[in-house]
Amino acid sequence: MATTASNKRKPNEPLGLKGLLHWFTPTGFREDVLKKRLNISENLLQKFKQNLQPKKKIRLSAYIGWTIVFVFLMECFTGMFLMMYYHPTVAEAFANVRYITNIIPYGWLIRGIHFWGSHIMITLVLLHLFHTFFKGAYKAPREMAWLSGVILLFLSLAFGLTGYLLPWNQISFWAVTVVTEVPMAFPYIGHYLKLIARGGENVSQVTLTRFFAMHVMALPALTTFFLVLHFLPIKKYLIPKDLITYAIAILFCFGCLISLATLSPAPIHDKADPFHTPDKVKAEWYFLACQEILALAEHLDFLGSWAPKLLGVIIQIVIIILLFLIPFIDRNSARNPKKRPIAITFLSLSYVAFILLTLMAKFR
Amino acid sequence: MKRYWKKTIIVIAIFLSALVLLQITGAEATKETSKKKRKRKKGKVTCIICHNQLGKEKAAWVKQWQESVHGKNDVTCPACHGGDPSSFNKPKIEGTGYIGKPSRLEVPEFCARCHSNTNWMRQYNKRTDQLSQYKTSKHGKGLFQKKDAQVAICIDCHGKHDISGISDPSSLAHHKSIAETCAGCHADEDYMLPYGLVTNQLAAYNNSYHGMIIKGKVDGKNPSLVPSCPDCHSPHGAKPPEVAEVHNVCGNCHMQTEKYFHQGEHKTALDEQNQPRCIDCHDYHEIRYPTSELFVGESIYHCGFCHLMNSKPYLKGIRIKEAIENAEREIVKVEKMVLSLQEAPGLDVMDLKETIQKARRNILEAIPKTHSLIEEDVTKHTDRALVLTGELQQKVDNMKKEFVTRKKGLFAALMVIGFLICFLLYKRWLLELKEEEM
Repeated sequence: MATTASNKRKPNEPLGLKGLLHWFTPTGFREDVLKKRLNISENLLQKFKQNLQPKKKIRLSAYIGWTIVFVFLMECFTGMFLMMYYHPTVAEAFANVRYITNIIPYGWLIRGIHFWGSHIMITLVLLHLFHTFFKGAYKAPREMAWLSGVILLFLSLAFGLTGYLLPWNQISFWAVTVVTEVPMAFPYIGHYLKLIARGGENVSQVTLTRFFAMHVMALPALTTFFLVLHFLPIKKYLIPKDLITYAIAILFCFGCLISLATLSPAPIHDKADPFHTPDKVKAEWYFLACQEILALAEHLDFLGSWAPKLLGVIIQIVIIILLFLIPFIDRNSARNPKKRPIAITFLSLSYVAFILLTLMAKFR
Repeated sequence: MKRYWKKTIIVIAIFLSALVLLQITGAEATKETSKKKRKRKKGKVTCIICHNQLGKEKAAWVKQWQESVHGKNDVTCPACHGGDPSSFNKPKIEGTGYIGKPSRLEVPEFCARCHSNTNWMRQYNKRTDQLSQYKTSKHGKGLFQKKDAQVAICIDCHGKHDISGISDPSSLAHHKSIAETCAGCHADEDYMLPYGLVTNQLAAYNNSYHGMIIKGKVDGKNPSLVPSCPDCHSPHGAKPPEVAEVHNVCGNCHMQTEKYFHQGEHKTALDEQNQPRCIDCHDYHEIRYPTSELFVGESIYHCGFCHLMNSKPYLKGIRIKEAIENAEREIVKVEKMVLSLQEAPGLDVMDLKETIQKARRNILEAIPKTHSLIEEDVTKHTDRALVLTGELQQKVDNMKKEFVTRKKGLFAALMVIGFLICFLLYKRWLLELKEEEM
C-alpha cells in the first residue's frame, strides 16, 4: 500500500512528516531512499544480496582484518578527542599530554586506548600478514590485496613513528632522533633525506609540526584509501552469523583496550631535553628488529667505515622489496600449507628472526 | 619473462654497487683533504730538521713540542731557548741569545719571561701572577731563599717540551690528575724525609668524599666542581692554610656553611681559642661525607670529643640530629610510595616528585644551618619538610583511591562486555540451530 502511495506522489511533491516516517520501513527505504534518491539500481541491490549469501566458511584472517579496521576507527575516534586539547608546539606538547592525562575527565582512558590501540593495531597487522601468508591468500587473483596490505603495514608503522614523537618526552625525542639519523647512511642524498624528515638539522619544532601533520592528515587519508583498495578484491561480505562473531571479536578487543588503558596507563616520561642524552635510546618494540639489524651491521666495519650503516639500511630495503614481491616470486599455485614447504619454512624463519632480533635489541 | 628478471637484477646490482662506490670514494676524498691540510700547517724550522736527524731523545723533544700547547700556538724553540734558527750555520753562536738548557734554579724565571709578561699573555687571556705567587710558596721559598733545587718547579707539574694547557685532560696539571702529580713527590717517603712531611695525603684524599667524586664514583656529582690539591693550597703559592684561614678556604666552595659558621658559637670559640676549625670536625685530606652521626659519640671528629655527653651543647646537637633524621625518614618513606605508584600502575607522579624535591631542598638548607648551632633555624626547615611530606602522603592516598575507582569502573565495564558477548554467543547459537533446521 505504502509503495503505491509513494508511486502515486508526483516527483517534486513535498513528502511531509508521514513520508519521512515511511523512509524507516524496509520497503520505503528501498524504494524511496535507495532507488529514487540515491539512484541505486535494482540490479546492484540484487548483486549485493547475492554476495550476502554464504559461499564459503569465513576465514580467521578476515576477522583479524575487520578487527584491525575497528581498532583503526577507535584510533581515529580517540585521536580526535586528543586533538581537542593537544597543541603541536615544543612549548606546549608535553604539558598538553599531562593535562589530558591528569586533568581532563577520562582523558587518561582516551589516551590509554589511543596508546595501546597503536600497539594492538600493529600486532594484529603482523598476525594478519602471518595468517595471510600461511594460508596462501596472497596468490592470484589477490595480489592487489597483498600489495595494499603490505602498504598498510608500513602505514601502521609510520603512524607509530609519527605518533611517538607527539608527547615530546625524552624517550620519544631521542628515539626519533636516532631513527631520522638512519637515512644518513646513504651517500650524498642521505643528508637531504634527513633534512626532509626533520625539517632541519635537528629534531625540533619543525619536526614536531610535520610529524603531527603526517599523523593526523596524510596517514589517515592514505590508510583509508588503501583500506578501500584492500577490501575491493574481497567479494565475500559478512552474513548475520559472521556479523555476530565479528561483534564478539570487537567487544573482546575493546575489553582488552580498556583493561590495558586502566591497568597499565600510557606513560608520560620526562620532558624532552635536547641537551641530555639518555643512557640507552630504544625505539618502540616494532622497530627494535630494525635497530638490531643496524647494530649487528656494525660488525661489518672491516669493509670500511662506510659499510656498517649503509649495508644495514640496504639489508632492510631488500627485505621490504622482497615482502612486496612475494606474490610474484612464489609461483606455486597451491594454497595448502602442506604443499608449500619452502614458503612455510621461509615464513617461519622470518618470524623467528623477527622475534629473535627484537629480543636481542630489548636486552642489549 | 626470464630476461626481464635478469635485467631487473642487473639494474639493482648496478645501483647498489654505485652506492657502495660513492661511499668509498667519498671517504677517500675526506682522508686526502685532511692530509693536505696537515701538510700545509707544517713550517720549515732548522732546529726541527737537526733534532730530528739526531734521533732518540732529541727527536722526541721535537715531537713533544709539536703536540704541546706551545707547538700548537707557534711558540717556537727560540722563544724559550734563544738562538737564531734562520740558518743552519748560526743557531748557537754568541749574540743570538742562545740559552740551551736552563738549570732547575733558573726555570721559574725562565718561564716567567713570557708568563709574567702581561703585554704578551694578554692575547691568550692568561694570568701573569704565577712567579710572584710561586715566590710566596713553600716551594718558591725553598728554591729562591735556600737554593734547594729539589723543590717543585714549573716543569715538574706542567712538563717540559710536552706542556699542555691545564684544561687538557692529558696535562699533568689537569684538575683530575694534579693530585697524582703532587703525590709524585709528596707520597715519596725518601724524597719527603729531609722536609719532615707526611706522605699519606694522596691515600687520604682518595678515600675522601672529594676524592671519590673526582674519580667519578659518586653519581650525580660533577668531578670538575670538587677541590683537588691546588684548590685548597693555591696552585702556585702552595702552602698549608693557617689556623684562621681554614674556614675561609673551605668557605670558597661551602659558602652557605661558612656564613652560618660565622653566626654561631663555634666562630666565637675559634677567635678565642683557635678551635674548632672545619678540619676538627671533618678531617682535612680524608674528608668523609658528613652525616648526622657526627652529633653523637665521643670519638674524634664527633661532638662528644670536645663536649661532655650530658652537656647542653651536646644535647642540642642530639635534638638537631633527630629533627633532620626524622624529616629525612619521612621523605624517604613518601618517596618510596611515590615510586611504587610510578612503577606499578605507571601513574604520572611528576608533581609529587617536585614536592619531594622541595622537601629535600629544605633539608639541604637545614644542614648548613647546623653550623650556626641555632636550633630554631634548623627546625624551621625540617618542620617545613614534614608539612610537605604530610601533603604528599595525602596526595598519594588520593591517587591510590582514584586508581582503585578506575579498577572498579573497569570491572563494571568488563562485566557489561562479558554479558554482551554471552548474549551474542547465544544469538549465534540460535542462528546455527535455525540453519541446521533449514
